[in-house]
Amino acid sequence: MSRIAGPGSSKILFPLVIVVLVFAFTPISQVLLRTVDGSFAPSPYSSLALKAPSDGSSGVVSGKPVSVLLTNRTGRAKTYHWSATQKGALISLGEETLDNGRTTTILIPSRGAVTGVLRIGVTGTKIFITVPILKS
Amino acid sequence: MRTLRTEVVARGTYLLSLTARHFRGRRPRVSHTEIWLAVAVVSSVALAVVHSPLVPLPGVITLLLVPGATVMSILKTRSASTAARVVLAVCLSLMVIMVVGGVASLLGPHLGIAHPLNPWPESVIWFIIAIVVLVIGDVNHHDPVTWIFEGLQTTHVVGALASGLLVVLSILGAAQLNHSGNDHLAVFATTLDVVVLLGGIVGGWRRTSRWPLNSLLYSASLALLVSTSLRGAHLYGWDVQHEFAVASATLRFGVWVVPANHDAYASMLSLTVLPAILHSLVKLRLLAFFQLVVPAILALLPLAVFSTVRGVPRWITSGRTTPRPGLAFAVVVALIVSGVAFTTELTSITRQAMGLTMMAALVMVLFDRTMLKRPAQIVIGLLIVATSFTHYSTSYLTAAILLGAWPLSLMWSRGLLGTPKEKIDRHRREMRSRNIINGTLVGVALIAAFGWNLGITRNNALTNPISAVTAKGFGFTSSTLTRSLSPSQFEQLIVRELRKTDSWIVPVPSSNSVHLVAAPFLKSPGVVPSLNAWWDELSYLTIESLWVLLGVALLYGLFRLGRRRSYEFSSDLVGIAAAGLFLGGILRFSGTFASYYDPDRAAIVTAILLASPLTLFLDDVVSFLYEMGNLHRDQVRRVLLGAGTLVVAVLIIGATGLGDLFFGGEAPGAVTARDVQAEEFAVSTPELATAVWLRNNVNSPNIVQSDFVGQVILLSEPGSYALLPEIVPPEVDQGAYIYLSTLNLAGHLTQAQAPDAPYQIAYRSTIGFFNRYFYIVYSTGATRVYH
Repeated sequence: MSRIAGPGSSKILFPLVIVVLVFAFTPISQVLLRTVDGSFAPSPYSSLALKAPSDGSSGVVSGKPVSVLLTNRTGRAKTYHWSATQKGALISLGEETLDNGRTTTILIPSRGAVTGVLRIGVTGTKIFITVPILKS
Repeated sequence: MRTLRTEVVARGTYLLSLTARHFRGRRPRVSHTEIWLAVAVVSSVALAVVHSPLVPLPGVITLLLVPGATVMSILKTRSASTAARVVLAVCLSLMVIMVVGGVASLLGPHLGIAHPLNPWPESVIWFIIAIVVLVIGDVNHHDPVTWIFEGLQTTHVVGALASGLLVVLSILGAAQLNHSGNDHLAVFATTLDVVVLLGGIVGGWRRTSRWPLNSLLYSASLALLVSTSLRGAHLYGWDVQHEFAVASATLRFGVWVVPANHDAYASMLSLTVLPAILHSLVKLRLLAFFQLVVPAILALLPLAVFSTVRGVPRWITSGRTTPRPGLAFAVVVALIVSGVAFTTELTSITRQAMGLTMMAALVMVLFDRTMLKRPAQIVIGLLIVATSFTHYSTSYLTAAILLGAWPLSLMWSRGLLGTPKEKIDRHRREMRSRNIINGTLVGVALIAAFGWNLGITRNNALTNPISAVTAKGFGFTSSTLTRSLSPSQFEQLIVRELRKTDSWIVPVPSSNSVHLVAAPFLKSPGVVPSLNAWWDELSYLTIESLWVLLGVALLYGLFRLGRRRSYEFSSDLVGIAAAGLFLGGILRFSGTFASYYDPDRAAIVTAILLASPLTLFLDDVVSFLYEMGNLHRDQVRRVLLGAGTLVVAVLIIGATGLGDLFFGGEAPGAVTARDVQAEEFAVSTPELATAVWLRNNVNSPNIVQSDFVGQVILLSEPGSYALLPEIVPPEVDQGAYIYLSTLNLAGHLTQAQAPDAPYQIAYRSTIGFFNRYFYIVYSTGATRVYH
């Protein structure tokens, strides 16, 4: 029976080690990253934006809905509870469930809002936008 | 490949019929390049099948080695050192890729191919090139892969794989910092890199040392570089954001065109054609190009300098032995790896990273005695041309250095510098075969630098520096550093300056009543902060001593040359060193140039050019001390080794930021997630998302304003809007969109810099002002856009 060890085997051994390392890269790297609590994945976030950014300067007439875009990039489906307030007083509220990576348009009712600033925010976060409300 | 060749021969293609003739009557032999290409293709397909993120790896390695190896085999030139061959192969490969992409972009549209940098046209082009490579290898009897890897031993591969663990640790350290902010592994990895580099000095001290210094140097350098380049959710640093935008645009258009706006970045094939081809051919993502491929190329820079200094330069024919490997290693670690620009800046200035690597390769070829003169001159010419496609400043500097070195070299070789008349003929005969730098190379350098940058692309790289020098002079008496001002002084200055440059701003009424309050930068407290002042002093003195030592080494070279013992030293060596020190001095002490070309980056150029004279000088000093009769040889060795290692330790500990962590200071982002540098340059996902939102939603003629540092991420995703990096309240336009970054909001820190003046300030963010007068139109919680 021929010997495995010897000068000839080293020529095969090293390419073999490299091939194994390259093809097993994904599971190995995942284990290592988990071990050190590290990641290169994008950090999760959500965002809220005026659908028409110019509304920020031109304003929205009281009673008309405010179109906002809600985006979910948290890595999982999430239910968002939003509210629109004016000087602390609740104008409207609702909830929206979004899959990861999706953006949806929410029409925020502004009935009951008076001339001033409407604050639309996601409950439990620091995410909020503001929009000027004009007299109808 | 064999089957393919047979098929094409059957079609009567000239080139391959030539190959068929070549093989007629012989037993077919599979070359290493054929095996290499086959393995690369098969492994890429296999990796794609298993959805591995390493799919581009075989292709990238192949593209960065084989084209350059082919050029070297065609020229029938190579170094005796495998490391030097690899460096040269990579640099020449970059040149081939840029030339191929540039020519395809210029000719493609005329031949009906509107997007020649897209995957299909590039695949066809490179398939043809692969066949040509194989044919040339067969015809020349010099297989490209064998040409550069001949003599490589299993122990070298084992050494490289083992030292690769340093890189793995650094990558994991960056991942930990990015995800949890924990810096333990990053600090450990950096400390290990420092220990390995210092260990290399000790281990390689004896002339007969067999330590794998090349592998250690490359791996430790790469580990330090990726610990910076992988920080954050996007690219880390300033210039690299704009570079990313330029590369992104080329990728989108599928063709490179001379930029109509004369943008210097978009004029560089290294930032446009190169990443586009790597993406099209091997699916390399742009982020991976900037975060991994460029550091892998930049880590060749110390290797090139080490290859240069560890041998005896080509002109020296007798009276000198090879310098101690450990001493050469120490010089490279002290001059290059310990340069602040190398460890923290160059990964974010990728055009210069590649340009300087080419310059180091050029100097390596110039000094390499194992490469014949004529082929070496051709290779130098090719590298000069490649540098002009890669980085405008490096290209101009190369031309200036060669232009400065040539007259000195010429005068010496003609015997015009003190050679007695009766000895001139003999002196000229001796010199004839020695000098490499000649009028042709100087001409090539000037034509390449000015022809490409001013003639063909007409880019604006020189516009601002020349205007500044014309207006202010070199400013040798002014500071090369940016100075801080008090908030009230700064308010007055910025209002005055911006009224001149941005008089269109319509400020918010009563914005003048908002006054700035100074804010401190975030710093590491340090383990022994009481020694901070002492450490700063020591670091400063060590760095300055290094400059003095470079000057002394140059004087020593002149002294050796002056003794007319040309076999001991060379006028090319002295000419290049003198030009390097002169240019380095101008860039270091000119307050005017400092605004455009960081003195730390200039120091790397000087270091590349003076590393060899310094090594020769130190080796002579060490030999002299060894041979002093009244001291014990072992004692001398221990003292010299200890002192040398200590000096290098001070430099490398300072450059990596370990000194800041230990003694207190602003540590770089590679070793901390808290200090101001990390906060400024490590881009978060919400910041990137905000930049993308601004690009998609705010169009010309709207204006976006951010603070001076907040603009970093906006440069990566430029929109059609105009960007003003200034949000001091009196200078905020009523109709502008205002971007506030995480540092502005959570860190309550805003930074401003006076336009065209070296003054800056950090102040508490004026969030109340924006809340009062503007509406929030976009929010991620961590970032906001007001309008």
